[in-house]
Amino acid sequence: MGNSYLEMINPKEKNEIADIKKCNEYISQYGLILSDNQIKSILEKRREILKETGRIELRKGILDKLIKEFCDSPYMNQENFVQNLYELIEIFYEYKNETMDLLTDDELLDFMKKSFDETAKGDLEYLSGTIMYKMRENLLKGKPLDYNEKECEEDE
Amino acid sequence: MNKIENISIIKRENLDERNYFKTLIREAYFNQMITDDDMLNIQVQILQLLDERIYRYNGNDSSSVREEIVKEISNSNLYTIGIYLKNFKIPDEAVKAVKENSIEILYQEGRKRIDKMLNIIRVMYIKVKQNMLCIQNDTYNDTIIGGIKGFLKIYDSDFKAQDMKITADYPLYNNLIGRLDGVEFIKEYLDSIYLENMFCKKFSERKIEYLLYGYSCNFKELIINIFEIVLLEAIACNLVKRNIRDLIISISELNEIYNLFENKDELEIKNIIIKAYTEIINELQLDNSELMKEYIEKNLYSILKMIMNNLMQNTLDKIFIIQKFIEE
Repeated sequence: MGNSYLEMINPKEKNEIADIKKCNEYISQYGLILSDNQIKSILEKRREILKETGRIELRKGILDKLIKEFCDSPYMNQENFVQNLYELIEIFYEYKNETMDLLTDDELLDFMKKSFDETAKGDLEYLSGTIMYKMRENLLKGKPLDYNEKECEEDE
Repeated sequence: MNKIENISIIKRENLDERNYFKTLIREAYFNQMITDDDMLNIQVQILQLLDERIYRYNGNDSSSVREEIVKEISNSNLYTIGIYLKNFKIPDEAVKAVKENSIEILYQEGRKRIDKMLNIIRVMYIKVKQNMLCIQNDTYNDTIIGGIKGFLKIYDSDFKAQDMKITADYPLYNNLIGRLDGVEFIKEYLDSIYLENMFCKKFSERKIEYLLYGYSCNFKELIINIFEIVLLEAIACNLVKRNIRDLIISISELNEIYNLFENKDELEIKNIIIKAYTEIINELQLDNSELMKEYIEKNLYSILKMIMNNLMQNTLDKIFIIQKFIEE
């Protein structure tokens, strides 16, 4: 089933471009801005990632939420913003699958943002390869998402 | 008498029971009962329904969904519409309903029909448990007690209406696997097993167990259909003019059957078998004898094939169980 089937009945992309453009007002207070071309390339990247991860997005997507969530990070700047967004979109959908949709969009985004800022300190490789992997393990074992065995042992 | 026959352009036998809606539309299109515009309109409405159902599935919690879930929900929607359209005995009438109603309405009607079927299934399940045979066969007992109950517990008419995740390991005389899905499968399964139990209940359970022991001393663990074994043995008893309720024949009686079938072709043997089971049904005085006859005839071909094969290989004792095994 193609990813575009909903686009037949939902003129989604136009709305999304408008929504992301609106984000510019919000993210500009953090010194960030997205050009029309960048917005288009983000949407294109999202389409590719959805295809790769075998997911279909409905109605209102995740992009404007993700942009607003991460724009206030101390590790974001105008130079790395778009590239970071690409990778964050990829991590987001990959872990929607990996967590078997057990986490809501907001829960996953909250966790990603907190970890990106506090633990990974802006290192996306560490975020995707280590932190998210551990989070998935914790989730499936019924532990808190940020559970850390070593820290817990030291505390005891 | 003027009898106006309803002649349908679309033949029911050309429609796939498991993909009823899809095949109905395909046939309607080939027969020019629906136009290109109708087709496009139907497709758009199907997508709108899918969009609405996926949104309901996800709620506000998630903005995306895995492709396999989309496929599952799509199949569920089409199955549900098909359930409603099967109500029309004439396929052309079903096409008319598709043209006159929105897909959303057809879907909602299908849901109502599934809910009704589930109520019937619940009642039927109680009845089946009440007329169960007290026979030590694991798959028989596990399917009736656990399997159907499990289905009723997890069946999801909202998003997986076509699913039949059920441990229905007990094989029926009338094999349904691959022929039906969802509630239709379970309803047919229960109706069939009820009928099979009704038949077997006319015999002593002790004798059925002896018969099964003759079939295999491991009958408790075997995946076998009890009804078929009982039916074949009753036929054997009838053929040698023994009391069918004995449910066993001797070796000399087995030889009588060989003699009876000697030099007879398949059609002659078929007629002998039909006569035998008709007499058995009459003798057992079943409440639903016509239904039972129809049920036996659903699988008559494979019964005959089994008899013919074993006759050719001189192994009729595999299907007409003889007493010597029980005495061992």
